[in-house]
Amino acid sequence: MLTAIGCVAAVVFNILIYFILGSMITGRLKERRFSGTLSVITGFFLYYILFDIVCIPITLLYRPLHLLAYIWAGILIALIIISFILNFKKWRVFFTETAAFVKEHLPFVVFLGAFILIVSVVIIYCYQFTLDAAYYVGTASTSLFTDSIKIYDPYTGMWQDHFEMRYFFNNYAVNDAVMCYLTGLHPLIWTKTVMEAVVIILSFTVLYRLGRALFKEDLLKTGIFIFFSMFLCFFYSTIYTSSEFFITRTYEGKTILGSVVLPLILLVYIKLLEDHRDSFCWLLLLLVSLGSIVLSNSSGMLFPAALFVFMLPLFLIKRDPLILVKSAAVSLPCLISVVIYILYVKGYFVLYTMPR
Amino acid sequence: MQYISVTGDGLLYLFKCISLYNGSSFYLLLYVLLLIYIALKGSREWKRIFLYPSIVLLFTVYNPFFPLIIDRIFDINKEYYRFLWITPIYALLPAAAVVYITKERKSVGRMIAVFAGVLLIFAGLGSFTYANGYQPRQNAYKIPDEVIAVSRMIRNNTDMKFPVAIMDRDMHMEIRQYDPSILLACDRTQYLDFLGDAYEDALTAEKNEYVNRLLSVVAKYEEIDEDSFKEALDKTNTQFVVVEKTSPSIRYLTDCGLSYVGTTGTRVILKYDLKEPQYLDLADYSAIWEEQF
Repeated sequence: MLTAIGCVAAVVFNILIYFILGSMITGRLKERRFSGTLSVITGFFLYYILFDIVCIPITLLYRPLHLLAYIWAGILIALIIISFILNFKKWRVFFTETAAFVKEHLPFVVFLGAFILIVSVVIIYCYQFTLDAAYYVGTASTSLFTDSIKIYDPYTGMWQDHFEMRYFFNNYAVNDAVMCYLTGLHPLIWTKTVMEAVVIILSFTVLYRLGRALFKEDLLKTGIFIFFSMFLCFFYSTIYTSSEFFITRTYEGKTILGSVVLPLILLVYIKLLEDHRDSFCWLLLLLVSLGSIVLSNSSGMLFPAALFVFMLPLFLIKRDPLILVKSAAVSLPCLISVVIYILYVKGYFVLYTMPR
Repeated sequence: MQYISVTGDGLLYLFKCISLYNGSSFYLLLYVLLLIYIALKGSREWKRIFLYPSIVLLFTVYNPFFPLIIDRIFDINKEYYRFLWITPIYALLPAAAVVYITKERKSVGRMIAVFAGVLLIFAGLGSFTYANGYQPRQNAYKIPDEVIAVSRMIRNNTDMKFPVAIMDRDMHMEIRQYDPSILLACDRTQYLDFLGDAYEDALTAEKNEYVNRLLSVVAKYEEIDEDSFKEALDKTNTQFVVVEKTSPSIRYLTDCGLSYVGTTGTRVILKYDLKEPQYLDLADYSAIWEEQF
C-alpha cells in the first residue's frame, strides 16, 4: 500500500516538476495564453536537457551517482523556487481558469480522467517481458547499486573499459537511477510503474492537444479522437509498431519517441501551418530535438527524418526559405549526436572509464 | 527485424519490413485509402496536414532505395522499422473516425450506432495486443516471483559480494534488473547471437570462447567435454548455473560436479566450487577524485 501511495506521489511529482519547469518558458510568452498542457510538454523536454547538461560532466569526472543526485535535487529546488516567483500570478489565474473549465466541461474531464486511469491500470498491471529492459532497467539498477554512472555494463555488471558512446548522451535511465536514489524506490518500480504512468499521461496530453488542433477546440470531437487513437494503439500490435512499444515497453526512452515526440512534431506542424513564424513552435522543436537525444539514441535519425517529412511540405506551402534553415538548425543536435557516434564506431575516439 | 537484411534482400527489404511491421493489421491499407479519399475529396486543410507529408514519406521512408542509402552510413537492418513510426496512422484513422461519427451529430442514437460500427471496423482490421491472454504482474516489481527467489537463493549460498552466474535466457535478461549484485558471465548480445548462430570472426570467437562453452550447455543443452566446461566456469569465475527444470542439461551439470542449491517453480539453481574464486569488488576511484581537485 505504501509503495502504491509512493508511486502515485512520484507520478504527480513528475508531472508537477514538468509543469513548473515548462512554465519558465510558456509563462514568458506574451502573445500566447498560458497553457498547462503545453507547460507540461515543454517542461518534460527541458527537464531532460538540463539533466543531461548536469549529468555529462559528472560522468566524465567518474563521480558517483549520489553526487549527481544531490546536485540535481539542488538544481530542481532552485528552479522550483525561481519558477514560483516568476509564475505565481500566472498559475493563480491558470488554476482559477482550469477550475472553471472543469466545471463547464465536467463530462469531458471525467471521461478523460477515467480513460487515462483505465489505460494506465491495464498497462501497468500487465507483466511485460522485453529483452531491452535488460539495458533500460539494468542501467538504472546497476548505476544505483554501484553508485556510479555508466561505468559498469548493465547487462553483466562487469566494469567497462570505456563508455559506450551509443548511449553516452542518452541519460534517461540515469535519471531513473537518480530518482530512485532520491525517493528510495526500486528501479523496477520506478521504471515500470512511475515512469510508465508518466509516459501514458504525456502521450494523452499530446493527443489532447492534437485533437484540439485538428478539430478547432471541439471537445466532443477531441474526446472521440483520443478514444479511437488509444483504441487503435491496443489493436495495432506487432512487435515493431510504436503502439506495441507504448503498451508493452512503456518505460523505454524510444517509446517516448514514438508516442510523444512524433505526434508532437505533427502537432507543431499543424500549428506552423497556421503561422509558420511562430517562434514558440520553433523553440519547442529545438527543445524536443535536444531532449530526444537524452531519451533515446534512435532520435538521432528519427527526429531529423520526421522533421523533414513535415517541414518540406510546410516550406512548399509557405515558400519561406527560413523554414528550411530553421528545420536544419533544430535538427542539428540530433545530427551531431549521430556524427559523434559514427566517429566512435569508426574508431576515431574513445572515452575511457578511467584516466590513462 | 532479425530475419531480413538490406544486403540480403536489397530492394525487397522495405517491402519485407513493411510486411513484418504490419503483420495481420490492415491499418496501413486503410490509411492509404483515406489518403486517396483526401486527395480526391478532402479539404485543403486535411490535404496539408495528412496528404502532403505522406507524399514526402512515399518518396523517402517508403522508397525502396532509402534503406539502401541509409545502410551505407550505419547499420539499420534491425531498426529501419522505426522510420515507419513517422506515418501518422495514429492521427489520421482516429480523425477520420471522428469526422464520420460526428456527421450524425443531430441524432444521438445514430451517432452511437455509427460509433460502434467504426469501433468494430477498427477492431476487425487489427489484432488485439492481449489476444493471447492478459498476464497480470505477480508483484510490484513486475518480474516473475521466481526471479526474486533465484536471487535470494544465490545470495544465501555465496560468500561473494558479486557472485557470477549464467542462466537460461529469460532469467538471464531479468535477474539484474532486480538484483544488480549478481553478475552475469555473458551479455545480452553475446547470448542472443549465440542462440541465433550469428557469425563470429576469429577474434570474437577467441574472446567468447569460454562463454560459448557455458552457453552450449545452458542454452543449447549440448554435452561438451566436462573438463572443458569446468575450465570455462573457472575462467569466467562463474559460481552459479540456473536452468529450467525441464532442461536436459541438469544431469550433465551434476556429473560435472555442480551441486544443487535449490529449486523454484520452474528453475533449478546449481553451484560450482571454483578452483580459484576471484572476490570481485567495485573499482576504487577515490585516488582519481583526489587528483582532480
